[in-house]
Amino acid sequence: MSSQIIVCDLCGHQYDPEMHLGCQSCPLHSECNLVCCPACGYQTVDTQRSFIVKLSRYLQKFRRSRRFPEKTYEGITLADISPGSQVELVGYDEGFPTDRKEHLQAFGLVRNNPIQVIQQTPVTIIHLDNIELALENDLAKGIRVQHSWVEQTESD
Amino acid sequence: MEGHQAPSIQVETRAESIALVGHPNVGKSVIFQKLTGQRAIVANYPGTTVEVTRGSLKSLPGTNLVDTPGVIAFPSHSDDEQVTGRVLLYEPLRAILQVGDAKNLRRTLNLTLQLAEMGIPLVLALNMMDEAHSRGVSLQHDLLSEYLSIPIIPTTAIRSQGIKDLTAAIARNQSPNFRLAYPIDIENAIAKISTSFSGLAAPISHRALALLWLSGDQVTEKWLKENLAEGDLLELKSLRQILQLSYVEPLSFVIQGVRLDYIEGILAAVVTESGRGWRGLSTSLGHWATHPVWGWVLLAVVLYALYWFVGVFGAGILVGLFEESLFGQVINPWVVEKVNQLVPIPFLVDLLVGEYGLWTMGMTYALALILPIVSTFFLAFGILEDSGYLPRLAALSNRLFQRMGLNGKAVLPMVLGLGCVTMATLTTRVLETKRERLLVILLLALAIPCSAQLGVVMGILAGVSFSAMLIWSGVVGLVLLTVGWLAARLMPGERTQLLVELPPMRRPVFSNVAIKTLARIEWYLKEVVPLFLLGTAFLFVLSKTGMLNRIIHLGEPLVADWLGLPPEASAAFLVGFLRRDFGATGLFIMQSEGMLTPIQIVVAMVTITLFIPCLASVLMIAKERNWGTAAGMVVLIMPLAFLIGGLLYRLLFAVGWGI
Repeated sequence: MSSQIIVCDLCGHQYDPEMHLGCQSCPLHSECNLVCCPACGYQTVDTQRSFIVKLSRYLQKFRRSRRFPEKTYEGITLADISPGSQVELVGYDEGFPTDRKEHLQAFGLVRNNPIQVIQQTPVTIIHLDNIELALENDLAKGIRVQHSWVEQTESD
Repeated sequence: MEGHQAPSIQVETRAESIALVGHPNVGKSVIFQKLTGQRAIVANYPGTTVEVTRGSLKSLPGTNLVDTPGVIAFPSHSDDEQVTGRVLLYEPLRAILQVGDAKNLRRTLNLTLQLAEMGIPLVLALNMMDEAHSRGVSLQHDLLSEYLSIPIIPTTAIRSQGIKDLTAAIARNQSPNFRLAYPIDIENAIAKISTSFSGLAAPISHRALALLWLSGDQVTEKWLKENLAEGDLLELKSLRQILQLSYVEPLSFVIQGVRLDYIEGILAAVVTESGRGWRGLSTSLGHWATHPVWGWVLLAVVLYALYWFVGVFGAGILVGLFEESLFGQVINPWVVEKVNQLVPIPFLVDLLVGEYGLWTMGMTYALALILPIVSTFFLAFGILEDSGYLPRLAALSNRLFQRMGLNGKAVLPMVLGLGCVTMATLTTRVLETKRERLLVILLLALAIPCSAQLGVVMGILAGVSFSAMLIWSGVVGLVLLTVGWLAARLMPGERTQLLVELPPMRRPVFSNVAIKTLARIEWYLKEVVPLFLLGTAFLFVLSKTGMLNRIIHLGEPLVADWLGLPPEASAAFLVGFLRRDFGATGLFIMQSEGMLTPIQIVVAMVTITLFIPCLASVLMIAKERNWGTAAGMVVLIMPLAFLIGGLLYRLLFAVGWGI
């Protein structure tokens, strides 16, 4: 039994397309993706039976998942920080590449060591321990940070 | 966690080599040069020292100094870093000389602790003290030396400061007594692993070897595979797996974390930062170079300056002076006259000063046409390298390379490829995965013209029109992007994300740039001139035996019908197999004799640019990868070059360009 309920665009009647007796008795029903309202007879599309609708939904899902990986972390990441701000490391996302993590740690990306964000486009550039590091935004998205409360020393 | 002095050292120092180890871009090569009096090529970006350079120490005759590629820390990840790992494990070392960045002590000491644990006599040169001072960083190096039980010498190598003290410290050959305590379960694992190493003659301490094993270092794994029984190795593997279960993070990360915690304590005691920071013009220039808008403007300025200096000044003015005035009017007429007077055999006269004469073609091409062009290119490139601009270019161009399945780091071999594709093929070692290296090697061989060729191409196209230059660069760029995009999709494997250090922008040091330029010109003369002579001799033989006409006739359908060029251009393509700049020079001569129309010039330049770079580069691809890959690239690249050349000819003809 279908769990779909169709609301008729003409009369507002709510019905389950599978329960429509007229459709069940039609010889073309097995290949048909149209359905009529039992109350007013207005014909509409049964989206669950349409191959094209199903395909386009599948493709959309695929596209969405390719373009926007699901964000698993709710807090702020290095990619969210505006240039000029100072932050501190909190941790890394699961699945963050180990070799990159080791390199960042060796470069001084450790807790309690202030990181200054210099720019975000075209890549994230940070300043720490007297060096500048450029890292791809995708990497920056996997680095969890918090705002540093240490007052920034005024230079010059 | 505390570091303290260890009771005993297990390592014997029997050999006469000293390894020069350190992070990329901390001045290792300058120190190498000061200590040995030899010149390794020095550059202000990570990954120049792709091959291990050796030199004899001036102060300790008979002792070799081995300059290794830069390493961030162990375990090593890229091919480049593994070379350093191999030097430490396979080369019998008398001592290690670490060069560290004084203004970045945390990172320096992270590597120092690892090296000190190895038990081999260690000296730390804290280099770039001048930059540390200018950033308000002051260090108590004596106290640091006490903490770590190793000699620490502050240096500013570029000004030869501290080199004497360094030499004296190396001569003392003092073994470190340093031992860092790790969490108890890691210590237990180290103890167990060390037991199974008993009787093993290791080049470094068993403790350091155990830590490298736990961190999953690939070079260590290979070394142990060769030196341990299979059963023992399996036992070690299961021990590592069990220990890993106690930690969420990878063991290598945990172990490094312990070292960094210890370093944090040391830093508090020995470093004072005045908080002056650094806001000079170089910082601003560095930021402009990676700015999403100004970065591209700066790049356009750099490229235009390069075009003007190499294309207009080098290939136009200098070549004009050399080829027409010096060689054309003075040297060549004199040589021809002398040869005619002194050599009685017409065949030999022809071989030396004939149409395909070794002097009139080979040496004149090499010295009058290409030498001024490559010299200006090497000079311009040396300035760019020394200024620290190239890593910023990697950051700026990352998105572009992302589309080709690479990251911005690939710009380094690509830009180096503009100098010499053969050398650049070697530099692909700085890339992290095999897939990336293969992709870059393909793109280098296909669409990156080397300095010699670029100069000739610029020289010819600048003589036609600016739009000719735009068409040439547009087509070559499009091929580069399309092939890169396609290859990235067809080649299995993941792209690695960009992570690169941006060393400070510096005013190029004149002596550095001059040394580099001269060393490269020397390389050019040694490698390229013989190939030019060989190519000329080859053409001479073909011409004398009548084979040249037959080849020109055979190549006619391809060169004349398909590419729309005069049949004589076949000879240029033929020698293009040896070096494509040689082929391009042949076309240059044809153009100056008025044998080519603008369309023909553009088509010929695009085809010869997409050609296989040179015999040496094919040999290098075979050496770096294998013969199968090299053959595959030739088979892919040659038809593609002709296909695109022919299509471009038809397209330009159809739109009526240059008619």
